[in-house]
Amino acid sequence: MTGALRTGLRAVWPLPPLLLLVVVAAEIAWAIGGPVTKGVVVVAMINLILVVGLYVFVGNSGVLSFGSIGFAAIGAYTSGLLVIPTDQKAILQPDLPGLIADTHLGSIGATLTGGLVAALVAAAFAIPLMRLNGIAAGLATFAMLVIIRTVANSWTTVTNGAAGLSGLPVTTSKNAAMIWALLAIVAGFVFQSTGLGLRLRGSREDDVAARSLGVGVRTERRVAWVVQAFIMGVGGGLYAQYLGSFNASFFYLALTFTTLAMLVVGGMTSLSGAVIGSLTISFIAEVLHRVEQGADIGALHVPPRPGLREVGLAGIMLVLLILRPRGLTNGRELPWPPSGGLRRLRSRQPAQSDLPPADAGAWPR
Amino acid sequence: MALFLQHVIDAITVGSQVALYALGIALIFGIMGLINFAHGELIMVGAYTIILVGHPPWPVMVIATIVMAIVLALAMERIAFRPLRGANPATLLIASFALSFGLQNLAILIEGSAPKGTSVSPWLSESVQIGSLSIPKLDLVTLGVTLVLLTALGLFLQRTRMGVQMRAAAEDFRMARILGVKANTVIATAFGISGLLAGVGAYLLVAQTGEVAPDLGSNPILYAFVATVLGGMGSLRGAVLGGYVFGAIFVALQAYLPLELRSYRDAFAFAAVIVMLLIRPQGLIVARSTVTRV
Repeated sequence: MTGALRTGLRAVWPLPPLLLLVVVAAEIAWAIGGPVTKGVVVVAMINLILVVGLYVFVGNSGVLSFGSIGFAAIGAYTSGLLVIPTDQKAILQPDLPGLIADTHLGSIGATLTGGLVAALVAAAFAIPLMRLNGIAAGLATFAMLVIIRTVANSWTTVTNGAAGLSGLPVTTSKNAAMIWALLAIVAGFVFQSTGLGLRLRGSREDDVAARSLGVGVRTERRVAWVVQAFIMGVGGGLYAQYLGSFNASFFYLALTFTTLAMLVVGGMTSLSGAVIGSLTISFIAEVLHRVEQGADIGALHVPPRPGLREVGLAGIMLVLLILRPRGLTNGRELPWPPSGGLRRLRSRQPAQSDLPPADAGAWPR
Repeated sequence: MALFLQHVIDAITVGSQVALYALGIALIFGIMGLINFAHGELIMVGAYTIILVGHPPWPVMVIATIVMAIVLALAMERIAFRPLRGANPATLLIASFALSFGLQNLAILIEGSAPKGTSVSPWLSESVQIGSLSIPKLDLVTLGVTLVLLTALGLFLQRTRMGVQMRAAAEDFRMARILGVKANTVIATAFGISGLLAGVGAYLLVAQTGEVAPDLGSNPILYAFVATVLGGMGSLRGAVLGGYVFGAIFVALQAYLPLELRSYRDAFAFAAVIVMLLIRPQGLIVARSTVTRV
């Protein structure tokens, strides 16, 4: 490897292998799978976006959020209302406020607007929520999720109540979802490499030490919170435009659990963990889903078992929390190969030079 | 006036129920710093027991419900939480979230997701007439049972050896262990008691709604969170007080919110949680164990 290439690659490590991994995984699944699998690939890519969004806040700050899926809901509703053709809206939801009723945007514009609105709402929530720490913060984000869902269910004139939105043009294709996912990963990487991202990661490792070095933490957390909400909003918008119709229950506890499981399984504190965990769980979930639906294997008849996928995921997550609490990646980024990283990963023993500060691999040197 | 009294009775009934749920959560949080999302599933499993045992005499039904909830609570502790002991609160929180989600779906797997109807006791659905007030017997039973359980728990914690050890563990777990308190016994007992509370709660809940579903435990547990946060995380008295405060807020919102805002009731209740966490994060009653030192 030439010197310049090496330096350049080192600066953006572990971005290239992660992007490559996503593309390869998606393309292989797309190529070998039947029509059912094709839908799964799109869902996996959208979930990947949500997990990267979750990682931007939870992974970098170390503060749990059970509420982030609420921002996906906001993105979904916003972009959903913008992509439904105006004449159709006039029939389905005659009470819509004028501005929303008359506005129509293309898929990309609507998705970005969804992210933007989610970010704005997040900015408002950030003012009180980011004053909290630890378990109180986790509970408060949970309370926020319930609030967003209740509003989405009750604000009938805009959200169409519990029935939800329907009649959205289905525009989220595999390529669209994949490109958005790659962009989200790049955004996550850029965010964690900025000074602000590094300060936030510092505060995650040692709050008191970070404060003593002048890192106020609140500002950093608020920015991360808003950035994650934007990514979540985009993911939610893509979901809406994949599903075609949805209601508030879709963006609630089950999706919160799935995304959180993906992040925890991969390793909460690294972008690599978010990506690898997301892909791994998507794969396992699909396998379990096949079993869940029942099948005839030769003479053996397997009856459908609804709920099996979720039970399996919960089991995997619990076992992993007990056996490998820092996740598959051990909370580190993919190792830099020229320093014997692969060998180290296999033996799981960090080399002497790489001992804590815990996330040494993620720091650009 | 009669209407107001009716609201007061409703508030006390809701408060008693929520206090029972909240107490189970506060007990575990106080000792091991775990917010047990899966407490709702103890209630759910208790409720399914009522359906599965058929129609035996009511004492048998009550005991079966409670025993099932206790067994599950102990199993939960042994299988999921004991290996995680000492993990940070975030890990514990995620683990209990996973457990809750898994058990809920296990119920779907076994019993299907459709709600099942049952009638626990026709006697409980009757009402007592006092003046112009008509009070369901269930409300009286709920209040009575809650008071008995609170008194019993209070006596247990104050007067018995195990109770004293439990309070010591809640205040300073490490110190208690150094002084010879057996961690496993204390924590298992706490889980057992939380199972008992959940079992009783399940029976009262099903008697009221007459319906059992896999997500039956979700709402009670959400309300119990509100109550524990209002009352003060980890404080048992706080959990009970929080339960009754929640009952009062809940019924007041239900009764006096303008009609068009009534469906937003839960949003207001959870906004109150956020406000409380901000202005008085330690809750109404401060638990000594939650005072952090750097």
